[in-house]
Amino acid sequence: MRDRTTRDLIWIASLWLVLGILGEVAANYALNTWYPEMFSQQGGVTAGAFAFLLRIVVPGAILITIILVYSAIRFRVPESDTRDSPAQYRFGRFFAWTWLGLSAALNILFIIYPGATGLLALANYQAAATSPLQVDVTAMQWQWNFSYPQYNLMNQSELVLPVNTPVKFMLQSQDVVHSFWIPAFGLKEDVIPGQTRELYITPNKMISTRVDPLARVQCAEICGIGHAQMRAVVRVVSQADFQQWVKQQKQPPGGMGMIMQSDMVSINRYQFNRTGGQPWQ
Amino acid sequence: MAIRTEAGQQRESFLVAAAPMLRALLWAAIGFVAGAWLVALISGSAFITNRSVTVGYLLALIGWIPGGGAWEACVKPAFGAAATWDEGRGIARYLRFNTDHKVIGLQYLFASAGTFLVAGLFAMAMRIELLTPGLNLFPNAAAYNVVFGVHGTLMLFAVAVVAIIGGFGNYFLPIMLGARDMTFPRLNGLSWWFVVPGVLAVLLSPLIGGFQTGWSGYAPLSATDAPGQVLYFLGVFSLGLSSLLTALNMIATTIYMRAPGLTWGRLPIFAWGMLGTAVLNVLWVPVVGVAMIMGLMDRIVPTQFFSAQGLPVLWQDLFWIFGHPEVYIIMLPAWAIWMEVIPVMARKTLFGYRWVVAGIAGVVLLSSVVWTHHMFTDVSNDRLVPFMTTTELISIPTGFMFLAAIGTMWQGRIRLNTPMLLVLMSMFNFLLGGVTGVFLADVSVDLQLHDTYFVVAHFHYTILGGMVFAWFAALYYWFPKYTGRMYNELWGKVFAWVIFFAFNLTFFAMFLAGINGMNRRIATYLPYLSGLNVWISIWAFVLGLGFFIPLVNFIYCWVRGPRAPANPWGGKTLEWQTSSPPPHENFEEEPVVKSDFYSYGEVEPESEMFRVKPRVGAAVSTAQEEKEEDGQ
Repeated sequence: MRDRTTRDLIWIASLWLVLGILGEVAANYALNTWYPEMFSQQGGVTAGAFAFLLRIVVPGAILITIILVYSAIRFRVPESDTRDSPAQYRFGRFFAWTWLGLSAALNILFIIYPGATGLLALANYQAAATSPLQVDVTAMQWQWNFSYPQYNLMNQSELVLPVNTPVKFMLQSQDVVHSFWIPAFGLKEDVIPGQTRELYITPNKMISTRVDPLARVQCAEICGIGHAQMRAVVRVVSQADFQQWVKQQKQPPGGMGMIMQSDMVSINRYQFNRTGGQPWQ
Repeated sequence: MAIRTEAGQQRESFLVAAAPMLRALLWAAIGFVAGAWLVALISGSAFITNRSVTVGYLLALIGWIPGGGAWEACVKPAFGAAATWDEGRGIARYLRFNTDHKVIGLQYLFASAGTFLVAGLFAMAMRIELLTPGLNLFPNAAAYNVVFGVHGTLMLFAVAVVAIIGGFGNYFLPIMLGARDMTFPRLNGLSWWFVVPGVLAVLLSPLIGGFQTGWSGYAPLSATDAPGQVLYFLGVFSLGLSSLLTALNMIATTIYMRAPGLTWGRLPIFAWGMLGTAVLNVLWVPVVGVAMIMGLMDRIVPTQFFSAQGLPVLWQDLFWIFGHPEVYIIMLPAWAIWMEVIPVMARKTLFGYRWVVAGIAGVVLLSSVVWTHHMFTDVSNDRLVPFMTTTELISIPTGFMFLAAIGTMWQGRIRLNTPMLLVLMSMFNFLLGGVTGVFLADVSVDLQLHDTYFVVAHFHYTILGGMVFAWFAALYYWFPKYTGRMYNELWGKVFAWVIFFAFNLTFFAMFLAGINGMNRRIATYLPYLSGLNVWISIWAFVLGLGFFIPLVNFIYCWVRGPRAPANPWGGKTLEWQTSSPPPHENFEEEPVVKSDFYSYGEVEPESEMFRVKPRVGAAVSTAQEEKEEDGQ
């Protein structure tokens, strides 16, 4: 009996070694291929946490799956066979306490890293932003409005940000709960009526919605009929281009700013490069 | 019952059999029209308004429940009249007020299975809509919002928390405890009559505009919506009330109705699972009930509980402080079914009984303090770390279920029939649902993935992949017991493999959609996501079709299947020690329990690495044998 058990365990360990490595390769492939590129410091934190967790849980899930499938095949008998198993026991201390120890250790690890450390990193980015660019975001059914009080620039439908500058978003809602999400920046914050909420983001690469549809403002909390289309164009540009854009937007109506604005009225008119598909709706 | 006579009489007899149900429907319709009309008359407003629908629904409920027979069985006796209610025979029993727990269990089973099919059709409509980036099926996004709202509300409040608990809990808990019935049979009878109006309210809400909020009903959107939102509040309240009444009954029954010798240390795992869910229901259903009333009052008074002048986040707290325990209300019964099926099919003693019970208790305790992980994007920073910690920690007692299942299967003699196959698949699916939960428990990852298709995939892996697979395992496992006939094994296995592959191919792709920026609850999406969505939709249609296999299998075999013996699997729990189906009041003689239910062969307390001394597992005997042994 003990010899067979040893053989079973060797089989499982070997399978785990092979499939675990394959799983890690697949996880890496998935992270490179499927997890989108992040364009902010904060997005680096959330993507890093995701990658770390994936690399740990993939081999873990593979091990348990191997044990389940191996047991089901190895200990299978014909369905007409109703004899009791020769091995009968109520408990196995070694197995149970190892299991408990491992799951507790993994929990402690995950709570500290990437859990608490991830939050700390986000908080540190916020603390480091001593003179951020302030953008007042107003959410309403079903559009976004951006104001730049430091530049006295109000009610923009497009979110233009200078690269490598910390941005402090002041989020307000005029009606129901919305959620301010820019997928390419890697985090979101709900916008709650009656509250002003803050979100710090530091874009660290230039990007625009035209190039990557994930670089868009997207409402992520159901808010009624227009929820899906509650989007806005995002452009992360160089400092010089940002100053230029501010200047253009502040020109009197009929000037350059107006043309730019009408060009940007709705994200839904855009043809996104990723697909080359048709504009819709 | 004259069911087996000529066609003419058959129709007549069915009408007679269904008379109380028809009367209930009639009284409910009269109640609704009278209530709504009265309010319209007094207020001088339209026939359908928030207030008229509320009063109409309440009067419909007051008509519906007595109409089904509670008038004769409960109300009149309460005022001193003789109880004259005939609980009927044959099919008639299921179409009227009934106090037999086995009848009520099947009433719940039919209600939740029917709701599952209807709400599943709503999901199919959603997947048709998502075949293209723009609109193709629905006239506007509002209609799509209504459809996913009805799908989610029904699946969670009328299937996930009802199917196993209301169905198998009612049917098998008293039998497994060796009891003749529940402690409060009339309360039990009443509880089912709250399910149907709850389901109908949510299902029919699209007729008056439906609701835009989805199943979580976030305020203040819920206050500005069409009048259909009122039916969401009232429907969920009714369904919650049903769960609450059932939970009270289950707790009382488990404490007071156990057979002689059925000590707490021998209590079947299924009973522990039911007890755990009942405790969670008693604690938290009242909270969500209050939330529903407050949300309703914001519409009909109108108060300002959850408006911008009030506290919009309070709704989320009240909803999720029920809503997260609800996840475990869904999963505890599913785990209990794993633990019932695995020892029987593996012919092996349950590994770590006490650890399983401790796991259930741990989940019950921890599940009440994790709800804020649904609100990481809404709350102040000081709530993040504590709730991240508790959410991570709940994986430890959950892991005990896998520990016990693996320990039991190891070195067993596993029969891979349909119930066992479905249990293994449920374990695999729940494993994936669990490990993706680790990502969502992590605050920084959640800030990116919250309200995306990653979350949609995650909870479908736990609820559809985990609970519904386990529910179907139980439907097959106990089929010979509650019908007295055998299902078709081949079609059972075909079904299991079809839904296993279709489910995984559907929902795994949703993780990828979520990672790639597809947010939840959208009828239209950006074209770059269309490839994934076409893939998801096609496999979702296969999955949807797959559920018709057991429908045919069950209906055909219930009527034509071969007769099943009392104990086809060689199970040791008490439901297998009585005839199939069990007689009225379950046992010919009161059973006496002399050993636990999960011991096979010559049991050792420890696996061979820690050999102590052997102990013989005894079987169950009846009172008759007990007396004989006493006499010797």
